[in-house]
Amino acid sequence: MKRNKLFFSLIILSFCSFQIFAQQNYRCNNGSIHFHSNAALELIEATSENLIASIDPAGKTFSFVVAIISFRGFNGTLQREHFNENYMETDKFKTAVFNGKIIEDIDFTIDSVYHVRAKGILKIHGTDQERIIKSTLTVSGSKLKIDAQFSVLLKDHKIKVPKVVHEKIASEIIVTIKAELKTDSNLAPLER
Amino acid sequence: MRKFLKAFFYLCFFANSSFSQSLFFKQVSITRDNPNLRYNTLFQDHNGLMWMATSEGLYQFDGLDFSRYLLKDKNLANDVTAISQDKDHVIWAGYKNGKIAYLKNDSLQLFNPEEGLPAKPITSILHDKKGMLWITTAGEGVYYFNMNRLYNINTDDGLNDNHAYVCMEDNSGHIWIGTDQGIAICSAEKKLIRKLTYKNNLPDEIIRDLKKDSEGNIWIATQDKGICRYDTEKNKIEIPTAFANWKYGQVNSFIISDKEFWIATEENGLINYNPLLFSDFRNFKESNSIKFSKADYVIKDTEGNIWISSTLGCIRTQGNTFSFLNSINNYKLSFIHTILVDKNSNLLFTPDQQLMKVFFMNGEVKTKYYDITPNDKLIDIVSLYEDKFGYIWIGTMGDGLYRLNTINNQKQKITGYPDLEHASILSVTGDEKEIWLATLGGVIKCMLPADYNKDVIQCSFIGLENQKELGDYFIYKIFIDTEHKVWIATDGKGLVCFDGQKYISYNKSAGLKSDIIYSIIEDAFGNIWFSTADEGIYKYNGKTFTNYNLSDGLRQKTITAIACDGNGNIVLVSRKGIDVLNISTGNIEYFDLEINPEGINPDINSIAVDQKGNVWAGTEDGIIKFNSHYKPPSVATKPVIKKAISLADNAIISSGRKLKYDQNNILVEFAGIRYANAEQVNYAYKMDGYNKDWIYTKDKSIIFSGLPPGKYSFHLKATIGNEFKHASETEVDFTVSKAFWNETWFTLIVIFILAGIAFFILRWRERELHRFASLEREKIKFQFETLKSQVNPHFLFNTFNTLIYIIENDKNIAVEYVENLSVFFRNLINYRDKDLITLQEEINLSSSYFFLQQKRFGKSLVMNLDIPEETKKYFLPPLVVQILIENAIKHNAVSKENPLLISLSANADKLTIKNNLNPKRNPEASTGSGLQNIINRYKILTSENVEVIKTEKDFIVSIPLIKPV
Repeated sequence: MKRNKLFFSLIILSFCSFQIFAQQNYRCNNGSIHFHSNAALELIEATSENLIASIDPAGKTFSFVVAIISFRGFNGTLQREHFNENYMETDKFKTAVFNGKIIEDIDFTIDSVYHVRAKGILKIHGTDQERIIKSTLTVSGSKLKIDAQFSVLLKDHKIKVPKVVHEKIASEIIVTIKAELKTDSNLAPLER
Repeated sequence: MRKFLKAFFYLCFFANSSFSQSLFFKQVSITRDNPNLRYNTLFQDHNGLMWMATSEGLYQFDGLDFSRYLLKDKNLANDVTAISQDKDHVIWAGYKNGKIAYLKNDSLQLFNPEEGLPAKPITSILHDKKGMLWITTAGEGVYYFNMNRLYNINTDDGLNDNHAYVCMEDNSGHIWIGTDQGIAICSAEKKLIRKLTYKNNLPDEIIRDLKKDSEGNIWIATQDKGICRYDTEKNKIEIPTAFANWKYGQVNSFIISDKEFWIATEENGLINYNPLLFSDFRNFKESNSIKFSKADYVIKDTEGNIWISSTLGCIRTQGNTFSFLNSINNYKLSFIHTILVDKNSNLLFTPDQQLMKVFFMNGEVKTKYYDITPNDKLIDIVSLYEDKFGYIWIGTMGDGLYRLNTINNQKQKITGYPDLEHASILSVTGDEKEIWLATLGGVIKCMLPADYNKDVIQCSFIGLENQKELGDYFIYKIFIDTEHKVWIATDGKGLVCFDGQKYISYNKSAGLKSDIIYSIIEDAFGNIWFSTADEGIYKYNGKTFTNYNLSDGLRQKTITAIACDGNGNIVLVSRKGIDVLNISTGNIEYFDLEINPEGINPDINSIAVDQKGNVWAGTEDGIIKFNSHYKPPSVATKPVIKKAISLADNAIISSGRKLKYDQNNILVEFAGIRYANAEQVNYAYKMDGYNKDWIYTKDKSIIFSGLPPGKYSFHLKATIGNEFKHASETEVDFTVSKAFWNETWFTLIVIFILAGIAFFILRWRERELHRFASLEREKIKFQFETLKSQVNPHFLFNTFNTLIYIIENDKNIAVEYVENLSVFFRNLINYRDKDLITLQEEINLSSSYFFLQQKRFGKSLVMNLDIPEETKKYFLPPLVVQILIENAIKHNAVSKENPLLISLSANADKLTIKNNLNPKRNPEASTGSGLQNIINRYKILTSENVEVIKTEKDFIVSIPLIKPV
């Protein structure tokens, strides 16, 4: 419980720089993030439903955070342990973060489906990587649905995989994001 | 009128002149009936092919033909805005809708990075030296593609502005980006390195174009303030004085090559700045037949042509290679008969019976007019000569000879020889001591006095009209070569050479085809070239004459004037225009299509060469200048194979390709790149393995149909004119495979299969023969066995004993017995040779045998027959039943207590012979061959087996019945 509090304050901290307290920001804390590694010998999949997302339509800025520890799935608990301890070093690097700005100009007041590119810094395993990620935004009233898929290269983020398990872990991990964001007014406060 | 003109020229005396020198422009338009087609940018690829980014697709141009490339997706607009070529020579195109595509297998493929493509127009694409792709956009800044990832640099990263126009790589590998707010210098490692803005002395922050010069300095075109230079040594921006007061408005694009600028402007068309030739900018907005005020893009191709995309479409010019002087101070030049370039590079020429000098002083063009022939009786000036001291000798058409000091305007009419004052002097030449005159009345030699360095001199003359080698009257040209030999062009006596002592004639008797010579020149190698009135031109190397005529690519047999240009090539002037003969290759290239040579003046002296090698040619309405910097490669560049495909499936044939047997219909499209004279490109091709000799053509495509299997090598040469000796070759090697049924492996397989079939047939036949043989053997063996058993003494003994017993008791039965014995033996003999007999026959035989045995054993031996009538016509091998009955009697004890019961039953399939077992205590010696023989014979006859069942009580044998066919 204590640990949880620490984690939340950490997230709040990371949000501060992105003016999430401004009105009409789109937010959610239960977005889904899924990854799969399709290696020659093994398919590894895991999902977290704890993706925290925030988009400021005025400045076109966004922030996505997920706690690595929240990923569930894998092919057994041992694999999950390995994922957290050996590869992601979750003790040291607790979250994966993507902060940045949308390249295209879109009008969030008009309900529509927008294909946009989000340019920002993707931080995984404590390593920053500038990325442009294609995503689909569906605006309908106070709701904003996000669908995106992108690849993460292990070497981009200095995630080291022992040679022994090379055949079991793909060098390119495919990540899929699905989140439904709501404007601030519709969202229960995160933390009292 | 003439007086007025003269007055006009006097007014201009020493005045600054507005010297209108225009260029020859040619429109290179894809289609004339699409006014909406916009040409955005132009690009020349590594092969020399031209690519045009237009509002309606990407076009490739080879000098004559356009090929259009469209995106496959019909929903996408094809407004191409940028072109580039990567290090693998792949063409890339950027689109107004932000899409990027590249050419693969002759069709456009969309570039599809994971990161997606810009939504804003692509303004330029660059492949840097490391192979990295850079993209500038109008609104999203800059993108670069590194290690399979697309990255963006925009204002969030510190970029000056998201509207970027252009990118360029400097010598240190940094990328310069021109934006709406200055220059950004970037690299993939650091993104933004630094910016150049007003603070760095940039005169205008809207950067329209960036170019690098040969020293690595960067030239910057701004929207409003012309062009400035970034000195990479001093690391600062400098504004060249010429550009300090730029007045031509927005620059859209420019090129710099050898200090010469070509600038495409928004409102003032094309601007040329060449400090080596002209002191100021030259603007062609108004002075040309093709007038355009908006030029979007400008490039220079490898041939030296300048290409401009403009409101009038794509326009090409040879730049300063050819320029046209048509007016001075708004006075239109006309009827230029004679041109001379003096030792100080001043140009003297004779517009409209006047003499004019054009000279350059302090970088400015000035003109001076000289009054030569009488004002009231102006006469054509037809020859000019400058002597060692700069005096100009002027030959007129009927008004004799004048000598002029151009500095003080002092002129002297030379007299002292009969009728000289009314002579028509077609050519003047000379050396230190003498002046030679070619007149319509023969050759006159004028000996210069000792004090010839004066404005007025007294000459002595030698008339050579009685020299029989020179003919009667007309002399067209006199030329003194570097060995001081005097060459004289006569009318009727051919070429005459005076070597100081004697006259040598070269005419028809010496093998020349013509005796009328017009013009003479010496090339850099000491060869004498001369033109004839009706048989083209000749080269004389001191020993032999080489004729260049229509068959060598000459367009006209009558060549009036010839000159040697700055490259040592021979320039020919005829009524058809200006042609250049490349003396190293012999190729002749025509330039009339480039310069619209209406009114080319085919006068003998209408052509002059200046010290820089520029050729000046007089025309009816001005002077054409042919720049010596222009080096006409008489051979077109290495021809390009644009497309080589198999017609069956459009498969692309690259060198080394193996084609299938049915891909043997081949289309090859090619081009020899020579934009200036594309119509004159000729091709020679040879398909090694198909053509024995070179085939000459003007076509740019060939179809080879039905190439038989084999190795091929397609060779292609292109040239201007007819001479292919020096043309470089392009080659494509490929193989057409044999059809699989012609392949060795296939033949081998077929042979193998046939051999296999034959083998199996033989084996089958052998087995059949073997089967027959064994059947025969079994039959013989059986016959033998049967015979043996029937003539077995035991059987006979038993039979005869029985007979004796019967004879004693009953004579009638004895007769019947013997009859049966006889029937039995007769049947035995009848059937033993047969393979099959009917069951009926067998039953008859067996019955007679049984009768014989039954008489012996009486009631102890019983036989039951249960044979349905229909089975009696079935077949079985002979004596089978008899043998089995015999066996039963032989192996069992037959007694009253235990009678032997033999039952025969049959159904549709088989005959069953069953007997109860009562084995003898002392079994008879048995060969065991009887039953075995039956089994063997059945094996050969049918696939059905003889069943032998031996139970405790019974012995049962089932014999298959063979149905009649």
